[in-house]
Amino acid sequence: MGGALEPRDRRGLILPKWLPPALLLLPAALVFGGLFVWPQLGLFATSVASPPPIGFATYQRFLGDSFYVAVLVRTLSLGACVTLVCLICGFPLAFFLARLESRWVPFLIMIVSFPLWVSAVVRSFAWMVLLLRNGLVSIWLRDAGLAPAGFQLMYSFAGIVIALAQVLLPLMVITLYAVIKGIDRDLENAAMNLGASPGRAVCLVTLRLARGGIFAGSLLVFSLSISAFATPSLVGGATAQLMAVAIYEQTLEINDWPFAATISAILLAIALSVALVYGRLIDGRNVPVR
Amino acid sequence: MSASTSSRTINRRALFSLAGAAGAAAAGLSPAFAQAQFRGRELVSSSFGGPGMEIMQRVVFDAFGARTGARATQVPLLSAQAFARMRAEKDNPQLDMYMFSGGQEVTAKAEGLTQPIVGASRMSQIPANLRDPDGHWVVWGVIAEGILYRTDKIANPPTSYADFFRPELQGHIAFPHITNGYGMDFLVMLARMNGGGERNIDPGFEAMKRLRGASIFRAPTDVQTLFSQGDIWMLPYDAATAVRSNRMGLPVAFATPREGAPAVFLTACIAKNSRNAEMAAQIIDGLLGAESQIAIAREVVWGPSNPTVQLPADIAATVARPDQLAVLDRDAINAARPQWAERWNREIAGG
Amino acid sequence: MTITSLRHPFGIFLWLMVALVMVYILAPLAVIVASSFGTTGYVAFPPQGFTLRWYEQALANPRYVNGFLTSLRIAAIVTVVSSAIGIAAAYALVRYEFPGSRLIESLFISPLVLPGLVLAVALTIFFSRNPIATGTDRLILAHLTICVPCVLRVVIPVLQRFDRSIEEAAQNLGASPVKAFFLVTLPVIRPGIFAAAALAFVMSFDEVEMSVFLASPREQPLTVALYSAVQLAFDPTLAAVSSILIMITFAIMVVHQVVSRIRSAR
Repeated sequence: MGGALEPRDRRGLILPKWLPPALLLLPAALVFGGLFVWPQLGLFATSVASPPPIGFATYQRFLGDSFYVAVLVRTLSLGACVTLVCLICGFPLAFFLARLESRWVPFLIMIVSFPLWVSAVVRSFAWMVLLLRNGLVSIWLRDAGLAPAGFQLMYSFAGIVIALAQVLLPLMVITLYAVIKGIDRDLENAAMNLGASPGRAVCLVTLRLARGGIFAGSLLVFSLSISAFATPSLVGGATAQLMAVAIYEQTLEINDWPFAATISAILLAIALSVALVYGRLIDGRNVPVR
Repeated sequence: MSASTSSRTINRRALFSLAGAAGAAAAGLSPAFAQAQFRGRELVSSSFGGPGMEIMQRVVFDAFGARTGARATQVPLLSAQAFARMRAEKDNPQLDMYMFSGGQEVTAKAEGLTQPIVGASRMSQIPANLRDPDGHWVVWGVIAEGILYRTDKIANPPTSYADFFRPELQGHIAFPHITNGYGMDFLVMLARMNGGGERNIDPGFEAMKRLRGASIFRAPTDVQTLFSQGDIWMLPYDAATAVRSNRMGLPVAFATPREGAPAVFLTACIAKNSRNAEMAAQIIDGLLGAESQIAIAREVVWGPSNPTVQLPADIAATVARPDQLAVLDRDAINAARPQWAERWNREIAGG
Repeated sequence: MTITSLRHPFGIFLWLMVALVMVYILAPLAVIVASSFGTTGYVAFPPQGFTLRWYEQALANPRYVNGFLTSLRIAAIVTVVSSAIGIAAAYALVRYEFPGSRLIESLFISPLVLPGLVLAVALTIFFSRNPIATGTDRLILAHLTICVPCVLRVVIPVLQRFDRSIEEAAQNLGASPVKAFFLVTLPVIRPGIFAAAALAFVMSFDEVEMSVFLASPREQPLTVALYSAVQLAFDPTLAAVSSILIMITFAIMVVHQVVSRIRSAR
């Protein structure tokens, strides 16, 4: 506790201990409460006020239907797959950028962020070029004997993972970079001086100390991949039977807002439980500072 | 030209609204009156975006602004999003006027989100089946659906929805998702072709299942890419996209199927509680005028709804004739949409 | 021996991995940039011929140019505000452990879990009933709901890694807590702040649904102009717009590098 802003100003005036954190949290709480929770409750109230099924009936309708349970499972596995791909691809890249001694590092980070600058529709054109039946990647896979004739990655679950991980990778890299940059490289060097190979030094020291960043990056990527609509529906076509897509369809095409609110609530509840459990597994907080 | 017709309308409107006032409003004064009435005000409408929105802005919205000193703008919103927004802002609408293509105007009226269009004199020229009996909405354009095909790959042009089942086309077929209106109509037409229809959709589902292996896409932008990159030779879509793809240089043509070209009606309505309903009525009147209807038909191949409008021959050739259209039972489709969409997701999308 | 050196197997592995990942990130973008120069009226890959026509059309279109400037302005304001809010909250959550702080930390991410459409519709209803903001301010407020969680998520682990004894030392030397934060903590966590701000910027710049629902008709962001343009056809101007954005970022970074090199050479 000692390093925190002391509840005492310079003239020695004693402030209540809870005041500084409360003041620091206030703006975020206003944004969260005023612009997220309140409007969401308003939306939910609208949903309940209009047509019939209220209460738990809609939850039963969702959770009692194997089709929707499959949609939920598919969404969560999409989130897991995308997060895993981003971690595997993102960690080496972020580590490399954090340890590279060059003035070009910010430049490289900017290049990594390029996918975020391209609108989803335009990006999906590129994926069509690469993933359609006569696209480069699909042809390579078939030539390598990894896929049957007529196979295409476009309009498939794998295609969604590939396209979504590409656009969310920058978030993982940026988050990990920020954390790894704060880990003293002398720690890795010390491990190597003690006889560890560089790879082992990274696993023993950096990977462990960057757990907070891995958690944060994974959570960002996971959240954004289970809520993504544009990229999955463009690249996945009809195979994109996901929670976010179901929410879109219920809100816009079917006009069943109560059911859309139900799906949102389930998505939110599950994502938050995942966040809490995952946070407990990778506890960034209990890692000693040095 | 339309300025004169519109000012005549305004005349009538002005006289009408001033009926109880002092007799000072002589006919010659009313254009000035219209200017004074709307000057400085701002009307916002939803629109479908793209070149259609640009042409309407130029021919109708900007012309109205120039005439009245008001500001009339459009914001792009697809029908479904537009309806969600209309619902969300029902007490305090930020948009005065909405355009729909998926039959949302009927639901909007039923939910009390619209108000009668008062003062659009050309509404009376529109056939009764293309406007709401209570005057809450009116059709201002007609899209013809049909079959788009690659002219360089398919020697004998398709003439029927049955052509999607030609064995030599297997692997070269795509069709839109059911949440895309054209995907829904494709399902209905397959049902009709096989002895069913809006009230008996089973044959449609059975037929669609036989198209297994076809690429199912969601975005309208995919059409061109599927033709150019995807080895897709035939898909059900609309005439406007065919003409546009063709203008872009793709060897794509449009075929009107023997079963009829399903018609999509483009409608306009005014949001309830809009403070600019009179202006919106003027804009809608403009949309129904010859200048606008011809310009829209020329630019984006959306056919006119006003039978008094004479299209120049070159444009008329690209627009489906009324006798080629198949009018679908939109009420039945809209009522069944939730069940069909859910069944479609289970039976068709599941692969 | 540096860890990124190519003289040991791990270094080679690292370089190889980085190269592969860069190809993965950049290949689709290369397709887009390449096809933006094609002469065909539709977007084609491989492109045929070479033309700058689509760039001319994109730059001559006021919807794109104004949209770009509007998006830039919105993203800049959102970045500054959400960084300040997010950093303050992250500091409170990391430095003052209190019961429920972890739960609060998790709850703050929930706006990112819901699809943009849900946030957009809810905020549309909200602003319609409570006209607390008008015009572009509504969109700026809306973007805060997704950008603050991003900043928070990025900054929390950075602050956790930060050695708080340095801050303590500064305070022991007589600096006020606030002064210690600005003089000691902030400079050390600067890469983290930079990363968080960059993220907030692109999240706002790239956001579609809330922009479509809440943008002022007078100031339509670039994403709305693009949303509008793709409704009927996908023409090469769109590829050109995306390429221009990439090139602008590229150019800014090159200029920045050159300027800082000249400065340090002096």
